[in-house]
Amino acid sequence: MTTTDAPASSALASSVRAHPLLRLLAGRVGVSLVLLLVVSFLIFLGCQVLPGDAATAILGRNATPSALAALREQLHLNQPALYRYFHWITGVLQGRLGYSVTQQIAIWPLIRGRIWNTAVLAGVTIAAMVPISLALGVFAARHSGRAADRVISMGSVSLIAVPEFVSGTLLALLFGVSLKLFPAVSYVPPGESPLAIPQVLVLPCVTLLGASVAQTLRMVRAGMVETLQSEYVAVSRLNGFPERQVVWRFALRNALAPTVQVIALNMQWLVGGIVVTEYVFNYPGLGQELVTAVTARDIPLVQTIALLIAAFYFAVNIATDIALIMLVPKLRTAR
Amino acid sequence: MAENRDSVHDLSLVNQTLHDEGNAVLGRRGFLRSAALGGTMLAVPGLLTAACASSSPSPTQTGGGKPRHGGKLRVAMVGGSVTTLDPGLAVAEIEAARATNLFDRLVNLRPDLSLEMDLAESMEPNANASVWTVRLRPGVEWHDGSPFTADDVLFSFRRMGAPKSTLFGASVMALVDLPGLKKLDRLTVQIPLKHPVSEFPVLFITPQMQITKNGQTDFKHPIGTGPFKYVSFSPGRQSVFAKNPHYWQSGRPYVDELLLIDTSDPTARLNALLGGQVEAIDQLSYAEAKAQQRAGNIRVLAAQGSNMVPIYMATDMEPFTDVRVRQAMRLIAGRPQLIKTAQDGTGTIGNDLYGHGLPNYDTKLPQRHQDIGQAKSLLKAAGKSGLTVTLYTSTAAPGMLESATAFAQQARAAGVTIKVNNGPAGSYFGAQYLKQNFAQTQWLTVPMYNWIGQAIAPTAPFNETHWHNARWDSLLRQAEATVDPGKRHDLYFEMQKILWDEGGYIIWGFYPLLDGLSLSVHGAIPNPANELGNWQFQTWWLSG
Repeated sequence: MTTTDAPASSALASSVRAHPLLRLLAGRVGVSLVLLLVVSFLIFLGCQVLPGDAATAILGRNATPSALAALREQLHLNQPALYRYFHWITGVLQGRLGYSVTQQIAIWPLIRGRIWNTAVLAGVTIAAMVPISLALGVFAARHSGRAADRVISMGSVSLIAVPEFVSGTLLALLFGVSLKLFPAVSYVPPGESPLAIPQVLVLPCVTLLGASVAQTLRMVRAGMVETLQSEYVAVSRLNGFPERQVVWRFALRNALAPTVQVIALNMQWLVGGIVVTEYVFNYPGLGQELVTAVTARDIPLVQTIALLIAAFYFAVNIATDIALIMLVPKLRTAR
Repeated sequence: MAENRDSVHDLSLVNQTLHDEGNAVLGRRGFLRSAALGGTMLAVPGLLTAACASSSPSPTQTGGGKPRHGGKLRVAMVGGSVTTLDPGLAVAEIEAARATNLFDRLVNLRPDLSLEMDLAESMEPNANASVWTVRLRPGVEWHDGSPFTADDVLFSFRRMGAPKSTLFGASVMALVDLPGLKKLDRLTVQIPLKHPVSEFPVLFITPQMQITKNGQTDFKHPIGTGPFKYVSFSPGRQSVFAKNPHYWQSGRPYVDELLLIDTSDPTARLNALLGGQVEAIDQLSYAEAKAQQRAGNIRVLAAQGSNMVPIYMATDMEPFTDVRVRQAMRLIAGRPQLIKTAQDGTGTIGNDLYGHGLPNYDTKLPQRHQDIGQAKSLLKAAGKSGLTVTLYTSTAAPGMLESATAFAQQARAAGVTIKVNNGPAGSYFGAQYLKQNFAQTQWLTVPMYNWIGQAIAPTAPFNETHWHNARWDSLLRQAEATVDPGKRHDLYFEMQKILWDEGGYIIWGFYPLLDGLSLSVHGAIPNPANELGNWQFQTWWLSG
């Protein structure tokens, strides 16, 4: 085994050493893992600040000292907090996510389906966000200064200013309750994928699109306005290239670099926005589970979900960096 | 609860209203004491017959007509977190509702809060209430077709009372001499108690006291006798139950399928109802209930019982050791104003006594009204003019913070400065609970006997007012020993008079349970014991 392993791993090592992009990737992943450990500890500290624990949350009004003591013993809340943290994090490092305190079952089967549901909602949102914001952004840039641009710009500023719980509630009231076009509450029967009942995705998606499209289209517009005024665009136009080709093939590609970053930022924002949106629409995703876990003071569950969200954040960051480096050759050599 | 718009707080309340409907997690000593109180609240103490077995057949509350069979009843409720359908471990209301519809109890509370015989046909004590004979209802079938017998009751009792049992029934079984538990015949059980308890049947109204099938310890596929049979359950998401066609209440249930869907956000619940995604929701806020009822989009199911968020004063802590100060504080309360401010005008004013709508509640005492002049002179006589005191509250229950703030305003007129301390809702009933001299609390509607045992008896586990009064205690002991219901009734009234004159509660009002129903729902009967008509979905039916 070792004889076959050694050349393979050394080949990998040498390829990492050889390829600067892979080396960069390896470095970033390494740093991210260390940072994730730090983050996990910060999450733990944050959880310690929450008043009360799972026992007081469960017993509520019925929390006599003896009942609290009994329940704490039953839920293994008697060990020191730091001990419970190390117990949890060493488990995570070995690939075990541990057990939910209040539900008394393993965390992974508890959140597996919810991760998928959240991924579906985020994926559909991003899939819709990119073309919509590109189209609107380019349109606004081409008509910059005119009425259409002003309407789009004003509209996007207003959308950014409205929090998701407000826009979500309004959308639910209008399209769910009054017009009854889409379900106001996104009930997904257990075991079914939201993709099988796409109508439940409509209102949460539109809510999330509200703010994210607005931000992205403004960035696309800004990049495009600048690019459209550049000399090479003027030259292309003078050379008689059709306007369509000038805009979509020559100008847009160069205007995209900042847009990629904004899309990435939006993906990261989505993770936060999704928590609120899922709760408003009762969508059975990870965010809703996080809110429940915080309220139930289910610390291992809170820590695990928060860690997953942080990991996603890091992953998007790394992916963005790589994408940008591949898009802009100058950045490759700068390192 | 629904009134609180802060979603995180809302969720934290999911688990906070669980308890009050019974003796959920009583400390054992406290419970023993409370159970030994003896009672008078039963209409016919000692002999409870099945004469009026099923809940009052007056489904006119939400529309009459001949019940229609069929349909799917979908109910959105504040979510729970328990992952089992073991009724003995139910915590949140949605869990108690699941238990209630899969299983049956020996007894339950009727809409008028009197005792209803369910799986028990009668519960009779011996001369001193130390041995109870329970006759069980004949002809009841488990969901798997096997007959319900005394063996099931024996098994359920022994399971609840097993050593290290974490089931809520453990505290009730602590009263029972379990080794002496005996099956007299196929449908008769003899229950010897360790101490005489003349109100023993009342202890079985708790939703966690469901009778489970002999041998059943795994509740992945629960077999009950209840109106609905298990189909599926996803913790934190929803449960699906199907009609039990052989249910002992003949003709019931009417709907073919019952879905209980966890929906913790109050706006999402209301939207689901208004958008036609569900037929009923629990815990409407006062404002929502008013607005929606006015708009006529939904029906509001309102149950006015003894639910309350009173202020309490610890009678052994300064400045409330002086009864004049306590009475002055009670006279400060402008009750109609508090109801208006804290409950949007919904509810009934209180008279500083628990038990509105319950048997043995003293309605003959004069109603106490705001009297600032009298309050001032009482404070002056006590040497406490210009008193400053901190009132501890939180948003742990609807109307708590609002009424505390309004009460503080009212106190200014009497020269009393009240600082309102708004604590975190999630841990309000935590470490500081029962140690504060001046704070707010919440109680739901339970039989008066249960409440006394929990809140005010000498060893009550939640003795918030630190109530210890020699004469009152002796009256209580007397009541325990009094067999004649009329005499016991008088003793209860005497005890309430003392509390009215000297007690530590400022009970300014009672709030109703408010639920929302689609216009297609009929047959729902409001029941102050619990929301959604005590979850008696077997009486509900849907028009086309």
